[in-house]
Amino acid sequence: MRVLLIEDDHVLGAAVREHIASLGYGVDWMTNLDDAGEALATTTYELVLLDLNLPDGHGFEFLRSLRKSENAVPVIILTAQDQIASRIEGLNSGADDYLVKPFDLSELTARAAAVARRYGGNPNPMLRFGTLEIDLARRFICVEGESVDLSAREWAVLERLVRHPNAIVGKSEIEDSLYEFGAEIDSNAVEVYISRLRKKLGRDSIKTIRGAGYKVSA
Amino acid sequence: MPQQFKFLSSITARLIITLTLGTTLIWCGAAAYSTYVSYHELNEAFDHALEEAGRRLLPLAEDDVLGHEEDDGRAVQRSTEGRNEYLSYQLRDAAGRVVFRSHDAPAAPYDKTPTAGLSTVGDYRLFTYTDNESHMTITVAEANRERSNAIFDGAKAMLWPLVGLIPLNILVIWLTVRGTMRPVQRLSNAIAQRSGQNLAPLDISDQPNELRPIAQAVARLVERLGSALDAERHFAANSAHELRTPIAGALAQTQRLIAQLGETADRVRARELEASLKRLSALAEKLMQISRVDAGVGLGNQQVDLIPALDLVVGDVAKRIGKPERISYLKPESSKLISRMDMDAFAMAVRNLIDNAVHHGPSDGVVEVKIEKGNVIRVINDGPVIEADLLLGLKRRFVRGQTRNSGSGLGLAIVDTIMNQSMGKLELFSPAVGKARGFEARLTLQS
Repeated sequence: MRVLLIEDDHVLGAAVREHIASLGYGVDWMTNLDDAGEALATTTYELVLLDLNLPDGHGFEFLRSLRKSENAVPVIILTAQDQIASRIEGLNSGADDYLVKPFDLSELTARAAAVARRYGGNPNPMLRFGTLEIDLARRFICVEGESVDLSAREWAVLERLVRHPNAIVGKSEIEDSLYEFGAEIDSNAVEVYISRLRKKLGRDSIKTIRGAGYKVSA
Repeated sequence: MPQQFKFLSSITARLIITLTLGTTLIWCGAAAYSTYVSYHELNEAFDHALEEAGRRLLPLAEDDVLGHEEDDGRAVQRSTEGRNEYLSYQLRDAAGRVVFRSHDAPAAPYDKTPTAGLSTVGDYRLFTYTDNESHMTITVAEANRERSNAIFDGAKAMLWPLVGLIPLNILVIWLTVRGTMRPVQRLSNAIAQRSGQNLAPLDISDQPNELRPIAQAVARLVERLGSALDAERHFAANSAHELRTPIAGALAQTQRLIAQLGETADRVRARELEASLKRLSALAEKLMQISRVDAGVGLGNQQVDLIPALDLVVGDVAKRIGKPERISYLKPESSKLISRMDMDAFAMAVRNLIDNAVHHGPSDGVVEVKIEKGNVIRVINDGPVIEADLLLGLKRRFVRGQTRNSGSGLGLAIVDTIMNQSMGKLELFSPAVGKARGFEARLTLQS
C-alpha cells in the first residue's frame, strides 16, 4: 500500500511515517497542500492521511477539490479538532474516517486497514485462499493450520495481491506500494519478496503471469 | 435601608409616595392659606356691614324713640318677632340708659362704657356710634358664633372636594407612574433573559429618550460579553489543537521507540512513559472540556436531531476500544432525539458517559447504549454496585467512584454541567434499573 501523509508537525509526522514504513508500506510525507497536490497528480496512492490545519490551507478544501476531480483515493483525516460539526463536515467532504489526535499508532493501523478493506470490496479482514487463512486486521497468517511469520515487506506484497484476488498486479504497482519517493529500489526486489513468500506459503500460492505480473487465485 | 422601608428601594413606590404626599401637602397648604385670607376678608366685610347697619339704624331708631319717650326699655317686636336676629342693637341716651333695643338684644347694655367704632365684647362683635346732636348712641351687635359658622361653612366648601380629589390624585399618579415605568420594566425583563446561552442583541427601538443611553450601553455590554464568550470558546477550541498535536507527537514517538527497543529494561521505561503520556492526554482532554463547558456551550441556537452525533460517538468508541462487540447500541427504528442542545456539547456528554461505562466496567463486559421515548438515553455497564452515598457525590468535580481504574473524576461533573446548561437532566443509578448490579447514567434531553 502506498500512503501519502500530509502533516505539518514534524515530530508527529516523522513518527507516523516511520510507523507506516515499518509495516512495509511506501509512504510519502508532505508538510503542505501544494506538495501533496503535486504528489497526488503524479503517483497513485492507496491511502491519504490528511491533517486539517496546514500552513497553506485547510484540509477540507483540499479534500473537496480532490473529490471534485473524481479522485477516489481513501482519505483518513488526522486532526486535533474533535468537534462533531467538524467531523460531519469532514465526512461530508469525502473523508473515509476521522481520527482525533492524540491517537495510538496501532489504532491508526487498524483504521487504515479497515478503510483499505472497504475499498478492496471486502470489509471482512478474514480471507481464505485454499490452505491459506489470512487475518489482515491482526496481520496473522496460517498455512494448513500452522502460523507463519512474515516480514513487513512480505506482508505488504501479500496484502497488495490478496486485496484484489484473481487480479493481475504488475511489478511496478507492487514497487509503488512498497517504496516512497527517492527510495533506492533493487531491480529484482519484488521477485525476491515473491520468492520468499512462495517458500513460506507454498509454491502455488502466488502465480506469475509472464510479462504482466502476479496474482493470487481465490 | 431598614427592612420596614425596603419598599422605598422601588422607584415606582418612591415616585407614587413622593408625588402623592407633595401634591396633597401643596393642596392642603393652598386651602389653609385660602381659608386664612377668606377669614380676614369675610371679617372685614361683616364689619363693614355691621358699621353700615349701625349708621343707618341710628336715625331710624331715634325717630322711633321720640314717639315713645315713656317706654325706655321696650323691645322692637314688629318686624323680628318669631325669628332669631342675625344683628341686634341697643339705643342709649346720653345718660347711658337703654332706651330702645331690638327683639334679641339684652336689656342690659352690651358694654358698660361704650367704645366708639368696632369692638369685641364677650360673644359679640359690636359697632357703637353716637349722634353728636341728639347724643343718642347705638350699638349694633353680631354674635361671634354666627360669623364663625359662616367662615367655617366657607372653608368646608373649599376643603371637602379635596377629600375626594386626593384619592383620585393618587390613582392618576399611580397609573401615570406605572405607564411611564413600563419601558424600564421591559428593558429589565429583556436584560434578565440574557445569559451565557442567550446573548441576542437587545431591541432598544421603543425605549424613551431618557432610557435610550442606558439601553444602548447595556446592548453594547451584551455584545462585548458575547464577543468575549466567543473568544473564550474559540480559545478553548484552539488550545485543544495547540495541546493535542504535541501530545500526539510525543505519544507517537514513544510508541515508535517501544517498537524499536525490543524486550529490554528501556522498553519497560518507555512503556511507563507511554502510560504517563496517555494519562496526561486524558487529563488535558478533560480540562479542555471543562474550559469549553465553563464557557457555556450547553445550549444551541436551534432544535436539531442529535441521533447523527450519537451514531458518530458510539462508532468512534467502538473503533477506539478495538472490540465493537462490547458496545450494544439499541436504537429503535426512525428514532429521533430532537433538542436545542448544542451538538458538540451533547457529543461531549455521551462520550464521557460511554467512556466511563467502558473504563469502569468489566474488561470483557458489554456497555449498553439505549435510546428510549421522552428524549432519554441510557448508558449501562455491568460493573459493581456503587454505594448510595458515593453515587450522590459523583457529579462533583474530582470525585471518583470506588474503582482501581485511573480517572480524573471530572467526566460526570462535565456531563452534569452540560445538562444543566441545556435544561436537561443527568440521573445516576446503581445497580442499573431492573438489574442486580451495574451502573446506569440516564440523560433526559430538553426538547
